[in-house]
Amino acid sequence: VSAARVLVVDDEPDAALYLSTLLSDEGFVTRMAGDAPTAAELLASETFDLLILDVQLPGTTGLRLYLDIEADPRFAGLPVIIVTGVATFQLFDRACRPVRAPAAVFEKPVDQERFLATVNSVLAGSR
Amino acid sequence: VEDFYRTLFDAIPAYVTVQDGNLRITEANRRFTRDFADGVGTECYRSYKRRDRPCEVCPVLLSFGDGQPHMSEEKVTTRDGRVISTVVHTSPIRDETGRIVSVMEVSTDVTGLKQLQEEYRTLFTEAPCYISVQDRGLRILEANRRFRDDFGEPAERHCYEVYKHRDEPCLVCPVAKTFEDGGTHTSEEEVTALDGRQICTLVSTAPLRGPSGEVAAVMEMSANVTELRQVQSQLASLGMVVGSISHGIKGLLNGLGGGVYLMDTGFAKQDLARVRTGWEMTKRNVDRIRGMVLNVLYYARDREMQREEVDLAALAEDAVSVVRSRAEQAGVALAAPAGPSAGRLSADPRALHSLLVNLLENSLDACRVDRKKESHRVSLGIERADGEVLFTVEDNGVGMDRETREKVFSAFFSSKGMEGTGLGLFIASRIASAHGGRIDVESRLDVGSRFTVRLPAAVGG
Repeated sequence: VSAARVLVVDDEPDAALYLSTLLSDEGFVTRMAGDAPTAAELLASETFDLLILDVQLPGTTGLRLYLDIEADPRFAGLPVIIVTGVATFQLFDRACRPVRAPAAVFEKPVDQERFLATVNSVLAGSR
Repeated sequence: VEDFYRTLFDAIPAYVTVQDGNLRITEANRRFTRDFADGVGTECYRSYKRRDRPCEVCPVLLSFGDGQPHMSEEKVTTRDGRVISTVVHTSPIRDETGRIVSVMEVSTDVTGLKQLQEEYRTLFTEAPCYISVQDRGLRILEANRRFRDDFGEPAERHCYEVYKHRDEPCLVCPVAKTFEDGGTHTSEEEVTALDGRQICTLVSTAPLRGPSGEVAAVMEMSANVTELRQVQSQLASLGMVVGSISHGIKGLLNGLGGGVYLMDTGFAKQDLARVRTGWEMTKRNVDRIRGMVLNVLYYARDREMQREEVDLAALAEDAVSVVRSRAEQAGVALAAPAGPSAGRLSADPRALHSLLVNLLENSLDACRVDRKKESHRVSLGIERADGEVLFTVEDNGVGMDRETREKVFSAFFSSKGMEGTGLGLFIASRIASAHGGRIDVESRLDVGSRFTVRLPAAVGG
């Protein structure tokens, strides 16, 4: 079985490096993106099994990216885990249509063990 | 029959006289002769008003002139010197040929009514809010005293001219709505007083109906709620400070968690490079937590100014070192001032340090989110000119449009969405003014920004 590929999107380089190191130590293949357009380019050119997304990216917001991915049939099977510093109940306040719930939502600071356990179970469920 | 009419005439509960063309009273009822001296045979104006000449406007003469009934309001003086208010009605009396031979004048004592009217008038005038009565064209027909005190004489000017110094009606107007539907409407407005004060008002309107029920005018009542709004906005900013700080702290704790993870696993793997990366990450986040806490303390005014002699070059170098690691990470070139020629300044070193770090971080963020340029740079400069110390922080980041530029120093304004706390530049400008200085900003969208901190070089300020 080949290692699962995970894309980590966070505009805060420390956060991206942290989660991506955590996941590669766990045996995953990871890529990092610091903003939504870079993430969109990577998603279009490579295949991923999981997207870890911070939802307050500058420029194109992470929320916008999430809505785009969620509406795009190419990514219909791609699970998304949201990592955010915003209280989770505020997250989808600004979305103007009903959206599919992400596979999981984590508030920063991320609880490592719970995060890894969730990543493993989300990937087990989708593969 | 004549006796009967005479009795009726005398019993009329008003003053009744019949006057000839010279306003001489030829007949009067009993109530008139009881209350006024010099009854029948004297002129109306002598008897009612103790005047030597007819009044300027006389309803009796008007009736003589046009044969129509007329009406007026008068103040007259009784035999015992009481001044009473009357409403006067006149009607011409004709002979067989139709010629007007005399005019009957009936005066009703409305002193009590008049007093009541005065009382209502006083209520209107002294009401502790702004009241105006407006016509369909939004011209102010009447206004109470508080209105005149704060907005001047309305002089039939338009509501929007007086309240808002506008040339045309507001887009949404509660007075116009009341003219339309006859209902009561409310709105919140910001108006400008004669002395330039901005006043927040809560406006309610009510229709004033004419005889046939149509809306003849609209009364508008505005309560001054400026203080209430200030308290509200303070509470709102308190909520925002809690929100933005908790958001910021969460991100920084996450960064700390990352640093600790990298160090832990780096030690376990004997991977020194990883340990170093983790250590850098930890320091970066500790520095940012320190900066954020200092900002919050300044915001809460918990920190007093502590002046001492500050070596400006060392201060600048220090500030630059705080953001260096983040700049490298973001691929932004950071230029520190060259040479130790800046000298010293009496200032609060920790405050100035925060000021510079806030400006540098702001510029760094402006570069980080900019995708229009190949390479980015942030530079800090110090110079002395005309008794001032000038710090300049310049970047080629996203730049600002006019609206952003104008709001950039207000608390909780952030163009970075949820990313910024909205405190950095607000604190920076507050620190500059605590030193008797200020921050100027020049910026162009997509080109970059330059912030110039001007502090007086002499102690004081």
